[in-house]
Amino acid sequence: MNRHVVITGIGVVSPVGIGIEEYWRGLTCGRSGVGPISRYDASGLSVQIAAEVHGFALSDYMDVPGTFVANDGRSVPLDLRTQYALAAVDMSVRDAGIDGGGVWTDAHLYFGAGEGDNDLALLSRMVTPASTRDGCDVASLLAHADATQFSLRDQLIEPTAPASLIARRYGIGGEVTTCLTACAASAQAIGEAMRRIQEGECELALAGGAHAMTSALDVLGFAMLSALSCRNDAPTRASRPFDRNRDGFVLGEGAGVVVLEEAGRARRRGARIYGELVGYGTANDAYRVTDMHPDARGAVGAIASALDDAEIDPDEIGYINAHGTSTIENDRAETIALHRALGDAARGIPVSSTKSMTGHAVAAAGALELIAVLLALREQVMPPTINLETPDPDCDLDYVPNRARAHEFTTALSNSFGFGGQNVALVVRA
Amino acid sequence: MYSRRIVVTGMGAVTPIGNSVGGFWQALLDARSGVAPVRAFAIDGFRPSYASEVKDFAPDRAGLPRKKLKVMGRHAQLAFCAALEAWSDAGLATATDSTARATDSRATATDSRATATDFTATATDSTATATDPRAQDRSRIGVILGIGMLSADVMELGRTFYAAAHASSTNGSQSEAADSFDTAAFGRSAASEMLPLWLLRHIPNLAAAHISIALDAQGPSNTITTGCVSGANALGEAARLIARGAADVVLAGGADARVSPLAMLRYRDLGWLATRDDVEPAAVSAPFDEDAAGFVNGEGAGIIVLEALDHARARGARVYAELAGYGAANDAHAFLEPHPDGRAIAHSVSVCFERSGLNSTDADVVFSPATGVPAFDRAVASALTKTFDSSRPATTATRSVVGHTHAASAALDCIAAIKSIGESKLPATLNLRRPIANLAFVTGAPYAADISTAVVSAYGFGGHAAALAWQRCSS
Repeated sequence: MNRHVVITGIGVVSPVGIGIEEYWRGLTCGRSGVGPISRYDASGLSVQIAAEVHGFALSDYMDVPGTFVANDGRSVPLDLRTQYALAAVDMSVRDAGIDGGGVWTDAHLYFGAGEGDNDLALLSRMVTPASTRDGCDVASLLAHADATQFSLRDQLIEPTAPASLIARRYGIGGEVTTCLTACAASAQAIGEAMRRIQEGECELALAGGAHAMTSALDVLGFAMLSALSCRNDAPTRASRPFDRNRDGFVLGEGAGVVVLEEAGRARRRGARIYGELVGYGTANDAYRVTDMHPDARGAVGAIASALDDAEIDPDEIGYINAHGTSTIENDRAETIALHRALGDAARGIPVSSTKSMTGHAVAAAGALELIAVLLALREQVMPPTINLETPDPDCDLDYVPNRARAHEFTTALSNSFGFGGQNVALVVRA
Repeated sequence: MYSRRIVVTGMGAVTPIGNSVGGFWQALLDARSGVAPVRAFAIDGFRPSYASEVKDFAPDRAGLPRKKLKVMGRHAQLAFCAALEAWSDAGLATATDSTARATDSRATATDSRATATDFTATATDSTATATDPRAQDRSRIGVILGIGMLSADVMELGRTFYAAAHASSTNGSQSEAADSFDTAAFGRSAASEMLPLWLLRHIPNLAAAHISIALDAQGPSNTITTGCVSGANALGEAARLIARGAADVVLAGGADARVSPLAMLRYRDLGWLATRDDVEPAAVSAPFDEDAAGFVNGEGAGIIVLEALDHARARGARVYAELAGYGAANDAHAFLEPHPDGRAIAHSVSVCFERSGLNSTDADVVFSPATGVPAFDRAVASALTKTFDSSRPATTATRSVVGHTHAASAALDCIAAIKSIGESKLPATLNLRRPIANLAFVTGAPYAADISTAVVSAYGFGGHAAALAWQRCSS
């Protein structure tokens, strides 16, 4: 288990920029990707803002159509999540300088992805004629519904669709896994893929995640859970992790993919190396479905086990990319977790939340943030936590407020805490 | 063989043919089909009008409080009850026992004790086994489930669409084309028509979260969503955790509940659902048969307690079988169709054998993933024929009896495989009259057979395949 795992390629689609350079520029200039929801009339929703990806066209990145065509000739548009995933993978493979051929036959793919968005208009056309004041006349729905479009669409929003379509495109014949541990999914995917290389199951893996929970049904669902910021009148100021006046997170979307390679393999082919993945830890709150443990025991466990895995002491960490969602509870609990897991060292380590700019891309968040860490490592600059205007006495660390900051460091930690209590921490080194 | 040996110490099942492992296994041996007219909703006139539903499922009697039930999807309820059975079967200490001596949970002891009592009141007689100190290290207990996709609830959605349509017309926004969708009206209606916590029923990883909370499992957790292979992948991930020493005990398996109006429409229109009505419902699910016309939509949960052999021995646990190895692969071919040769099936079995130190002649039986969808059955038959050409082990397809339980299917096959090792019996493939391949099918009455190695093969849409090799545990 002494094999080392390095990152040799990056692909990213985010609300603050598409592609490595744009993403990095967006993060370091402190620009918020949050705005009024543009894809549908959100005026009937209590939350009308989201961090959407703008200016994206799949055809700009690859020569595949944005539709899925079945053998019988039926076709449906690929959902945004899948389109982002395909584009991010393509970028990462080109960035890694890996050519086609047989290299992918034994590779693994580990993806964190949720379902694609439900097409409400399509569902409505099917269900509304059978709908009643009390629900639905199911017999009538089943007898009359034209499900021709719906069936294909519904199959293609399966969580595993992006990974399967990627496997097909690149000829990935090894194990292809999709996991969904909510907001920790893509961080967990990267950690588990790292293990498979360490343990000799493969030498090359694609890992990351994609999600687009910005549809009306998604926004509605999280708004009804009272998890979202309601600052409809000030979208760019809505995501404000660690600020005293934070009021919830902002749903975002995107995809982040990294190429993981066994270090010897990467060196032999002269690959450019972004960093080494040296630590991965995971632990479960086992507390409540909707709340974090008040002492953040799962988060503490995940961080402690990642440091242990990396064989480093807390004071060796130079920068932390926080889960930092901008909910009252997460940011307080995460601060507690950092104190408990890192002890006295916590006060000396800068922590920033890039969700202040990207919003919360749920299953894709962990990958987007690990990529932010890798770029910060390369540039020796830390992206800021924007909108941090009023300090919260419960959040007493150095959160790199509002301005990117130059910083010399070699080792960084990235936290991802999943709704439901599944916590993941990753450690990378230059 | 794993460097740290991994064994099975507990099992739980909630299935269309029985709501416990005992009931499931007996019905498999009796070939009592789970397929029957749909009960969950009015289906008159629709083809098919049958499915393989879990019957007489009473989660509140299994210790699930009503308040929790409301926010748990049916798949989570099935998983939860199967998990409690598995945990109790393994004789492991519950959260209730550990709370008393927990060190980390001072601040929350009251709360978690309340939760644990809610959930586990009926689960266990574990006081006798609670003395093992290592079982109390909750950070060494993991939960990894394979979970399917829960379709939207048409009752909730219908109510909201209805209210939205009426609000739109009274607001005078009819000017829009009849088929355009008024998202704003939908949003306004949802606030009153949808359960505030509806989203919680749909988030796949919450099934594992509910179980982790009830059992106070603070170790690694994951939720795998690779469609019909999810349960097999979850077991493989669980084995990796134990082998690398990240956990001592992992609850793993799969759960799915897709017998819903929208899922029936989806699968019928994809051409995967058997729609025959010229035979009795119980005769429809016919994997490997020339007359197979598709799968029968089913639901269920199968959960296995995987444990490090050293840990199981230290606490004197009963051991059912050993997991010798696991392998997985992808067709890299198509999303909706299998590779004609079932390429990934053959690959996954060979990876599994290589890691187990086994070869194809060691397999006494293969639990196959044939569902009755002709193209998939042919791919499975082709791969198994090639992989096992010299040895021709007994081959069976439990989906003929159980229906297709999707993300639960491979985990249920693993339970059947483990039972077959312990009970020296093999369940037969039902409805197999004209086989499409020359495999050594178990048909008619169940076989009595000495089984020391049972292979479970899993396969599904998206090109996913996995294989697990279970063996009688030698000392």
